[in-house]
Amino acid sequence: MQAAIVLFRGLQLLGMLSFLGTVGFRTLMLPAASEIPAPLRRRLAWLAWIGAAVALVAGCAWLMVETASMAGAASLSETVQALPLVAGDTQFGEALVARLGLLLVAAILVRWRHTMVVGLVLAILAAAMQGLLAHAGAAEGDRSLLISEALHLPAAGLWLGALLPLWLSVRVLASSDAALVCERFTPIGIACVLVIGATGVLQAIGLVGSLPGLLGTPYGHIILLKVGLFAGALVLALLNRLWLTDRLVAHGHASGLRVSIAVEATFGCLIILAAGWLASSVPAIHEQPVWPLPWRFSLETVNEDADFRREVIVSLILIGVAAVLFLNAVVFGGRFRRSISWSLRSLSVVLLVVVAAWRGPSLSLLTVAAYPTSFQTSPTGFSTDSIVRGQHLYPANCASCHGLDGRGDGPAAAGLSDRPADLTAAHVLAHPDGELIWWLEHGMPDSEGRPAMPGFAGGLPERDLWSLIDYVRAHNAGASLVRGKMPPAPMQAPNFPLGCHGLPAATLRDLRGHALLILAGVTAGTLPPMPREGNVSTVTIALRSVDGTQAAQCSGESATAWDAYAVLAGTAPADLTGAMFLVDPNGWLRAVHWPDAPGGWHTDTELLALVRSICAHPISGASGGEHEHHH
Amino acid sequence: MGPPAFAHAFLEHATPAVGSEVASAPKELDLSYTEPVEVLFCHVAVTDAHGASVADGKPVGRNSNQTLVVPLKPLTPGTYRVEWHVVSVDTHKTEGHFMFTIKP
Repeated sequence: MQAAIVLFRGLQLLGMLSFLGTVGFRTLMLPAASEIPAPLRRRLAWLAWIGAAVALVAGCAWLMVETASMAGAASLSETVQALPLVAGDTQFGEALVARLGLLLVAAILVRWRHTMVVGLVLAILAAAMQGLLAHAGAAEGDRSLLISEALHLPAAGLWLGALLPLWLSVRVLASSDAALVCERFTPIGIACVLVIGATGVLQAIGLVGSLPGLLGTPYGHIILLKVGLFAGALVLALLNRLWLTDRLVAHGHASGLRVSIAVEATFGCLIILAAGWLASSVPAIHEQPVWPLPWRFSLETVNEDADFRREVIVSLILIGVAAVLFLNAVVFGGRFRRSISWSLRSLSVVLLVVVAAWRGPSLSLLTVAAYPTSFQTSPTGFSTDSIVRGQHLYPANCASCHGLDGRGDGPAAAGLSDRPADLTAAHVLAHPDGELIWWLEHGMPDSEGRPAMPGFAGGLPERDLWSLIDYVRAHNAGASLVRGKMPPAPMQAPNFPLGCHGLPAATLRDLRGHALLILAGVTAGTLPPMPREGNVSTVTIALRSVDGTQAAQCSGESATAWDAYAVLAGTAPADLTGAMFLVDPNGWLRAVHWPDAPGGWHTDTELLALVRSICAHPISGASGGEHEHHH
Repeated sequence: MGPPAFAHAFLEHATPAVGSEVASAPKELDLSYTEPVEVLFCHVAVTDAHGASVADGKPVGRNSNQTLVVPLKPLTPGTYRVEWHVVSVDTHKTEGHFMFTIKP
């Protein structure tokens, strides 16, 4: 079913863009010729008709298979039954029927010379509806993808769809007329390529989002394929313009140009089919990328060590200078006599190679080891459920080496050549989730490369491993908080379901935008009056619902909330009573208060000042321990 | 919590929340998705511990069809299972399931 959708979507796109390009060619480019033979006119009319027919037939087939897929229909009669619903009552069906209607009217109108322009406009409108039929149509609230698709498709049609008509014309027209048509093609083609490139980049930013998404997902790979084909077509277009058209004008040789245009048109077909495939694939931003390289870019090393920093800067300067000299020799070397220019160029190549070989290896200081999972993010949303789940799994799976309190001093630790990692150390929070999950799944070698920590892939479900990571992070924070210090890296407040009076929130995360005061067992009498001044609004949340009078605005609805916050605070659940956690409007944990300990706040004025201060100084560019769920 | 759904329209939050324990019986189930959905082709099953359906009618759309609302019959304390299948407006299908509990 999925393959049929990809096929019919691609064919529909191909037919539509070919129709659009052919009509655009006849209206905008062909009139540049002084004399147009009647057979060419007839052939172009046929080409437009074939494009429209393919678009209409493939479009109807696409509607059918998509209906069967949406309705989960098992037979043809069930599909036909669901057809009116899809065609009349869904965004996809309405948009596709409208597009096919526009194409039908356009195909009729292009029969007559004086209505051809109207046909062209209708075809452009049909192509511009692309956004409503693809991923952009579901991006609620953000219309920029819709607009960029509305420009991308007509531009692609006017350029790629016009290549076949151009090929036919170069074959038939007198060479002077063919050259005139090619010259008219150039500015329109350049404008289209610029629009395609700019809108393509916009869409990639919206639907791929990151380099790992581009290199590590099927969606990203199709985009790379499409960009490669686009670059190939662009090179051929330049070849046509800069060299082959001149040959046609000077010597009347059209064969090279014809072959080149034919190859470019083939590339165009493949690009359009790849576009159809892309529209049927899951966008990279929704997928966990598989990083293909053994290293990733990182400033960690150079930020830590001034000598390394100097080393890298010197290398970058030297290589940069050699590269600039090389480019100069290539571009301007031709101004000198042949022998001088040759030696200048070869000298610059040698210099660049030597400098790169000498200084290049030091640039590896800008990278750190990476794993296929390096850029994957946790699916747990750092929930209290997940932390408590990890807490239950930790003793049986981790404590023998890492110790019950995580300090790397479990009973089995003594027999190991390397001391197991201290999970309460600051650097644990600096590792991204994707690297921690790799070590949990595949184990970790000791300093001599022998297996030290076993891998748990196959032993524990992946979901349990993510939960262990959540527990280790919360526990690591607890090791700091119990000593009255904040964790060494920014930490999100663990998420839990809650119920609120007068606030539309089902989980803690829905309260973004408010400062939050999370209370562990604080009753109405001891509750501080909440600061509510200017643009600062503070919501109070009880970790568990208090019997009788509701002291706080919201109260937790999960039994795990209390236990997980006890882990976070570094205490036993029974000792958590009286603790308060202050969370900033972006969800970061910013302060913890114990009634009888230093730090925190002791008066309402102090609390108000603290809330104002965290709202005025948001955490920016936090990384490592960030548990954001991307979607 | 259901399996992670890294596809198009996935569940952003639910009321009652995924895996939550609530004190009073809700009159409806709200499912909010990351993208608008085609309500006609969405199916939500809410069942009690014996597998009997407790939904009181088909889901209706709210909030520009980004939220599905399922009316519920009067519920007694116990654990309920929600299983959803939705089609986003860009025609992609996703599904998931979760439980919630009403405290005695």
